[in-house]
Amino acid sequence: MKKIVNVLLVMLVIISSQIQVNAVVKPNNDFYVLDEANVFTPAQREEIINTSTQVYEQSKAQMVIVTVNSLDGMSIENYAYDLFNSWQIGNKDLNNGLLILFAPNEREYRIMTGPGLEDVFTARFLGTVRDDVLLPGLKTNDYGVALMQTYNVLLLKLQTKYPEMIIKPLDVKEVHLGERPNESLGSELISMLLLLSLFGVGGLLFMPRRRNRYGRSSRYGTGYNRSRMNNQRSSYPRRSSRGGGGRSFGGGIGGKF
Amino acid sequence: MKNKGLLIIIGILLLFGGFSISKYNGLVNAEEKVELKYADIQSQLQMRFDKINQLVDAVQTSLDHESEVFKAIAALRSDTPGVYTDDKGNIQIDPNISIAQMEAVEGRLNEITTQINIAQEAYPDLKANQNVTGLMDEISSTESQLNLARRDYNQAASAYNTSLRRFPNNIFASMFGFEKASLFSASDDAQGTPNSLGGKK
Repeated sequence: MKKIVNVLLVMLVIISSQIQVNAVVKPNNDFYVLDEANVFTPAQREEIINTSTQVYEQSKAQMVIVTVNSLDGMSIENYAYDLFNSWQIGNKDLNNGLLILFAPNEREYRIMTGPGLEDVFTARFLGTVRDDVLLPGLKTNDYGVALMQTYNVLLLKLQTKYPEMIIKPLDVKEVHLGERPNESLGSELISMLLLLSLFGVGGLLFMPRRRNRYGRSSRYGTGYNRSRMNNQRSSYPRRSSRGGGGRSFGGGIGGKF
Repeated sequence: MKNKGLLIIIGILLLFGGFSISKYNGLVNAEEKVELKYADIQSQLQMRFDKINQLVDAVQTSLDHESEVFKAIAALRSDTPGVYTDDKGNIQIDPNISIAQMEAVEGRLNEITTQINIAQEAYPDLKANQNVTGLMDEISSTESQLNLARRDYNQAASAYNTSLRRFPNNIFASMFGFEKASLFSASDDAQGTPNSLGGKK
């Protein structure tokens, strides 16, 4: 009897190890941030989760940042693709998920979007983000800040697709995209900023920043409904905000840094 | 009593009929999935061609005609089965292209982008040309989409092939003439992604 049980146990182990081959990390309850490689402070994580929660509430788009300790032998492209599709990032019908995947140990990164966002997040645009924001930021070695700056630039771009969305960017030093002649990014940026200031958020961008991370409340200024944001957090459990859809075709950009 | 025996036989036949229909449909579905994935690869490959066509236009003025880039393009144009040049001079893929042909075509495409990368180092003009760098980003993006589409296809095709070999499907498969799907040879995990973009800084 004992022998049979042992044999069964061995079989179980073999089966479960088969299943785990090439599996990507699973989402946690926060969904929007999984920081396995520990590049963010807890406060930064919280801030990204808050911001992404609002993005989802206002546009049904999902912005997710994942940092991993190991790609488990997979190429980052395959890893990002499997993660994107197994987490089902984005709304099922709109396919508007966005993933920033970062693997500091392999020194690789990838930004991937669902097809519903490919009209704004073209490879060309993402290339500019990589050259002007992500790579220079990663060179300074504060990975968390570089990823947050990248997130902000992507958020700003997302607002051109969902102009009704009013969201305060993450609290990091602002960086600007350089100008590429064939895509008038400069003027696009100016019109984006104009649009934002119309909504009263522009003022926020240029307001003096308080150093204290926990003093956030003092920065909610003109036109920003703070109580609304706080309510949102409590009335929408994070878990339920999973889009349950989002298929990526695997576009986007990535590489080594 | 005799009727009862007949009923049992009819019952067994019906059961068997139902069983084979469901097995048959299962195989048809799996085969359909493989074909869909194959079509995905083709459309991604066509997208990549469109980008390469644009890139060729963009670099034409900056390069002299002895350039390796043009040699690589000429090689793709002249003797690559599975592709043809349309009236506008653009390279298109043949809808009936086979897997082996696709692999050959991709090798040629990789050669073109590699040569343009090399040329970018030699010609400062080309490196400063934002349209060219933008197009290279787009090509890299379609390259990864193509890699992933190929991987999806290989997964669907091996699942289908396995189900063909499994009992009792193997009986139905030979009965109804289902054929094994061919696979792309190298998986991209083994091959590595031809992504020259990210690592340039």
